[in-house]
Amino acid sequence: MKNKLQFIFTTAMVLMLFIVSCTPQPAPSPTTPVEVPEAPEQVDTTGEAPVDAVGEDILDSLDTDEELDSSELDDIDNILSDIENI
Amino acid sequence: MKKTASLIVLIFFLISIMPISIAQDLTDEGRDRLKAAEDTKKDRLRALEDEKKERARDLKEVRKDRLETVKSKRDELLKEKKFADLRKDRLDKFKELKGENLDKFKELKKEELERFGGLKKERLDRLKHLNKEKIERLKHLEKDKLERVSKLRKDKLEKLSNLRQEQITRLSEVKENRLRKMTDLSEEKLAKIADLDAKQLEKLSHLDRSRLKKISNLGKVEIKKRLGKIKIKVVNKKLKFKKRVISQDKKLEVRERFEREEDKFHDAQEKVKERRRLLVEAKNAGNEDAIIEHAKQGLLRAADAIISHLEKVKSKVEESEDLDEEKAGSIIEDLDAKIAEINDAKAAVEVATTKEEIREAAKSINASWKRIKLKSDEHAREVVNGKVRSILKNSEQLERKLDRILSEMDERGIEVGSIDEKVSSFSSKIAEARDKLKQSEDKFKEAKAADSNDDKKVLLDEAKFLAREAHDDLKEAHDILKEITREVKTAYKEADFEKEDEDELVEVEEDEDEEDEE
Repeated sequence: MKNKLQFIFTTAMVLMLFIVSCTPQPAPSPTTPVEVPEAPEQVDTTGEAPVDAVGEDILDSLDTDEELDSSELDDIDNILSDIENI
Repeated sequence: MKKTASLIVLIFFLISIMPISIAQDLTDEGRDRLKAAEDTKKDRLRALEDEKKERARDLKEVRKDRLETVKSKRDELLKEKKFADLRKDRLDKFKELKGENLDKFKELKKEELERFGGLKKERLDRLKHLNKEKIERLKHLEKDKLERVSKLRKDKLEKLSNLRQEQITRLSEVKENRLRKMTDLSEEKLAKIADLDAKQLEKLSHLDRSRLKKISNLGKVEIKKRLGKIKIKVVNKKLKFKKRVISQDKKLEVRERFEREEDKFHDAQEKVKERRRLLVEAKNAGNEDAIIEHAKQGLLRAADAIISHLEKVKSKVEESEDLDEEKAGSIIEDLDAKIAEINDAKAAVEVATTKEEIREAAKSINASWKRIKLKSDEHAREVVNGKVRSILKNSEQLERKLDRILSEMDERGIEVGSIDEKVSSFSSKIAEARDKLKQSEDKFKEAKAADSNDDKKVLLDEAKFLAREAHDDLKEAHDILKEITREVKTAYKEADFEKEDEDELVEVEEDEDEEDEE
């Protein structure tokens, strides 16, 4: 009798576990990609005109140095050499 | 069995309560002893307190007596003719001083007292902390000089008043913002520079912190020698640190032209690449007509790219306020001549029909281009170094501005310690940039004077590298400046960065060839 009761109890537990594991899981809600608005590029200023003007000049001078760099013209050197030898 | 068990439990219970009863006995005995000790202690404390009260009473009486003596002495002193004859508002300021402080002024003559009494209360309050000997050393200063000195912070004031009377007199001639900066030097260095004559001191006082520190490290003879090579120039108010002024309309027009040339340049560059690819294909295929066509078109587009590059440099020269009219004019003239030279070569290409003619035209353009490229690099360096120089001058001016603002903060009793340190770091970075720019300009001069194109190219590259380093230092200096500006604005909301006093409109020029100052 005691063995029978133990058997019934164990079987009931296994069955319950089985039922619980088979319960359909709630479908994950579709994740919509959140668009993070791009922060506008901020110029690091202090609000003091004479200080900020120097900051602008620093940026401008670097731009000018790059814009006037003649290394961009290396292709010209190559084609001129090629044409000299046609 | 049950009986035995109950008996054992009972025995255990009885044994367990024994320590409690013993402890109870001991506690009673201890309590009595403790009470007796406490009583003795209380008695002793009471006696001590009585003694203390008695002593305090005595001390109070002594103090009262002393105070009365001092007060009567003070009253007597204030009744002296030299004090009594002072203007009421001035006398009132002395009346507010404690006896011991008033005592420091007792040896002064009436006119000297008038000068001290004429100071604002908070300035007199600063001076009263000096000892009698130091006050004596300041007594000869004229009203405006005394006022200038009294604006200094306590530590600077102490340093200054440790000098000899004649040294103090010479230093007090220097305007307060600059005097404040000079008194940052150690006492030893301050004493050394205080021996310079008025003209040399004035010159030295206009230098930034880095130069001032560097020069004050030299020996007396070296200092004079170095100062002989320095010129302090007053800057044109309209131009500030610019070499000329370009109108906004003109700038806008030139910038638009620059953009157009930039587009043309990229377009020509793309076409050059494409023609070069097609030329290789034609050569591989042995197609003579195609070779001529692609070589010709490639050559024309290469000439277009060169012209656009030269036009870009020209636009930047036209827009630059860091080149004077004469310099800008001569560069533009040279660039126009180069553009004309390439246009002529382009015309020759357009009429070329044979491979030989195209080859000749290519050789001609290539030779011109090698020469023109170096010249255009030279002009570009002139523009960029002019910009870096201008940033440097403006940064130096900002240091002067900060000296004025810090002086104002000092006067208002606002703590400036950390800001002062940052201004010194800012000054050091500017000094590094100045040094690099100087090296760059030296290399640039060498490049312009070089005979061989190879040497010219190497020297121009070195000049460019050094100018970039100067630019990086200026950028770092500017980052420090931004921190300083924010800190100043937090601590001193009235700080005016826009204001420009005459001290801020000067520039320092170091001339290497100048004769030593006698």
